Amino acid sequence: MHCRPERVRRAPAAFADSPAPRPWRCRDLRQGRASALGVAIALWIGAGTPAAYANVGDLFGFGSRGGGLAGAGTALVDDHTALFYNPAGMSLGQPGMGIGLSVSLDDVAIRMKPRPAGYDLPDLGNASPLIPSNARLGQRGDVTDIPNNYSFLVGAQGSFGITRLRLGVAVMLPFNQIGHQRSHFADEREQYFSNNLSFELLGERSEHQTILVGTSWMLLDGLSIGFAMSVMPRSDTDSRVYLQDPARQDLVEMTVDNRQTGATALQAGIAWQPSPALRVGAHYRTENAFTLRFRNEVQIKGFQDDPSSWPLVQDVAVVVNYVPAQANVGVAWSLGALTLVADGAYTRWSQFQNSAGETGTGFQDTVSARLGGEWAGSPGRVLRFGLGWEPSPVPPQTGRTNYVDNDRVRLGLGSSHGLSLLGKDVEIGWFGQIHALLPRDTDKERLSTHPVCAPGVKALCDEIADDTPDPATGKPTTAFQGLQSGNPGFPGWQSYGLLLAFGVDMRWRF
Amino acid sequence: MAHGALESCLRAAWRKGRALAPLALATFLAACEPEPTGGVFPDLDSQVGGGSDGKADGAGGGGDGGAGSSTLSGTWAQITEWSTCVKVADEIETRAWRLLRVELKQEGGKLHEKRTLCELRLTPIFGLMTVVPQPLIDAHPLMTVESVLVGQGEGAPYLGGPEIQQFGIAFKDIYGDPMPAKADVDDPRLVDSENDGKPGATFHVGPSCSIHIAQRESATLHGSVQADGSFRGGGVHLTEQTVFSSTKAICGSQFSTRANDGANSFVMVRAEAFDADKNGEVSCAELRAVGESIAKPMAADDKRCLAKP
Repeated sequence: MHCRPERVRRAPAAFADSPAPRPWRCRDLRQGRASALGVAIALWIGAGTPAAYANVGDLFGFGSRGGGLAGAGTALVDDHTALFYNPAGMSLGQPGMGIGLSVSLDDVAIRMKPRPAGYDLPDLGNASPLIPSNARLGQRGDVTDIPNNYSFLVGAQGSFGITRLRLGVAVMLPFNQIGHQRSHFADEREQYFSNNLSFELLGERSEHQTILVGTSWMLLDGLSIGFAMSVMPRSDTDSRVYLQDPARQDLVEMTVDNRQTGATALQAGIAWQPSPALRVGAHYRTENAFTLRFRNEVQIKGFQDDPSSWPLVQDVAVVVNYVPAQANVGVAWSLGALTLVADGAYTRWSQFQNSAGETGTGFQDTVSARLGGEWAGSPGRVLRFGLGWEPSPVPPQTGRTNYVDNDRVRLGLGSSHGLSLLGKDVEIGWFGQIHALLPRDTDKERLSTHPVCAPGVKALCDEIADDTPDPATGKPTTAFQGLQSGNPGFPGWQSYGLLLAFGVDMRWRF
Repeated sequence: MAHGALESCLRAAWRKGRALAPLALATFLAACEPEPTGGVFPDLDSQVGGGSDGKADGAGGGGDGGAGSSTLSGTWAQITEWSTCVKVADEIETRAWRLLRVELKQEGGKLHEKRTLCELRLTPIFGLMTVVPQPLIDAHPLMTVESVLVGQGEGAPYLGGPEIQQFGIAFKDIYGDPMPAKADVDDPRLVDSENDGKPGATFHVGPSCSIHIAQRESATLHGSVQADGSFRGGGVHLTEQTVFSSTKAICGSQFSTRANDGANSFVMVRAEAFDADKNGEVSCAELRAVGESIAKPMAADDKRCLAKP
């Protein structure tokens, strides 16, 4: 077996977060076995679970190092969590494995503005043209909580005896529940469901399993490329329904054919260390989403002579956990005991699909920035800090839609401490993050005439056209003059609050 | 050893982290709860824009005089309520509320009535409201009815003559001609009232469906004179209907029905007081403006169908 000289394969001390950074040694197969075992364990834990990408890592970072740096890991992170930040970074680090736990909590709120009188959908009894506002199943109100997340992270990277190669796997599993998919409408349709608003990019969106698998290869000394993939679940369900009596829709016979597959997102990255004091990295990932598709084919007795409704076909698509395509660049600069890092990300939110699978949401691409540093003030101890700016892709919601999101300021803190355990280098790290959701005040725009709700209408719309005749008499009526809106976001809201996260992990270096 | 190392690490982190405390504080403050504000939409009059329930309050009866006057001749407003039970899994009630203008001429105990249909409302079935277009109602032929009043004054029995209401068809013998079958779309008796090329009359069912039908309703009224001079009582009513086609299958479904005469009612009041424009003649438009104040439409109640005939 041919081995590279030690000096070209070791990470410069300034970048090594291990307390006693041990240079890569051209080890024998023992090392390969150990790292392979770590990878195998991580794979085993992830086996059989749907993999995904939109996750707690997107919000708070993957692992304590990236978390403490407020997510600025593109150039610096070089362990298994590099699969998230930049898989090429694995080549700059030592084989090893790690486990960790993280918790995210919140103190966020969507405070609804009181509905003014006179805009409800009127109650004309059975003759009401739409289900009247006073018959909603869901109570419109403030949102003061989003689901907390408790996650378990395990991962490993190994060389399998090939010095230029790294293979890695990282698995993040929520352990309060395996997953949570909740769809909602972002406009007046939601009044018939929760009748509330939701933080569009927080909450359940990050609550699911994540499996990242990837590899990196050192092309030249200090220059490596990496690739990784993540898989989102996809579910296709075809139901066949038989309705014996159209007047008794509670009595149905149904068969279900459900197929679960996956949709893969790819990542590619490059890491370059032109000098012992400088590292740069770039990383790109494609978009992905968890898609659920339903098709109901309904046979209703009495419809058999009507080709347009025999069978009646209902198609529904739900898209949750949408993750946009993203490009990251990062740089890390070592100044002795202090290493500064900077990351920038361009995120293609303009392609966002909402949970009804609709595009054209008006979301804007964003450029976010993170700055951070590591201070190795004493041997084996590293303090980390980071600050990030995450602009919201959501434009002002003055019209029909109610996407709730805020600009975020992100502050990370953390540290790690190295020790030797059973002859192995072990590092224990922790991180904490605070995200401030900068308050956002939304008012629906008041127009002289609000357009009637129809596909493509962007403004706050009138759900009952002014010239709608009295449904009981067929005659003109003044009952529907002006704006009638059951839109749960009407007339506006305020959103603000804090997200908090804390995590600990332990890593072994082989 | 490991424990000591961890402890010293945490201490070091705390010492160094204190410098970042102002930043953390600033982050907390950045997320402070804003002052509550209202929207830009003003409150509206609750009667405008659907804030009210849209229903008119019930009001008292009609004009001056009444059946206690020396002559009953004149213009009357008549409202009938028909109950029909629709057989599905259980029976559900559907009701028809009609407003008619009656030109009445009294000859002793004989009451010659010329009834003009002014308005017709039906309660929905399975949430689908059937609407008879007003032009169809306006075009409905005058119905001549010969009725009988036994005696006079409060309590005098009233027996209305037979009345036939027909849509989408013109019978030669309005009592005896059979109804056309579903396939009889070329029946010469059918009247395409809307000239839409569809057989019979077109009724609208719900927001997006139409049915093409021929319909005959036969009815008689019975009641008595009330203290306020109005007529009140019940009636016997039967609907026959043939649906030739529909724009969607779901609204063209024909269900088995039965008359539910025990839940029928009518009221007839003098209408001269409803002559809003004071031109000496009471029109259907003037009656429609006050129809609900004479007798509000009753909501359907399936319990009325529990009592089997």
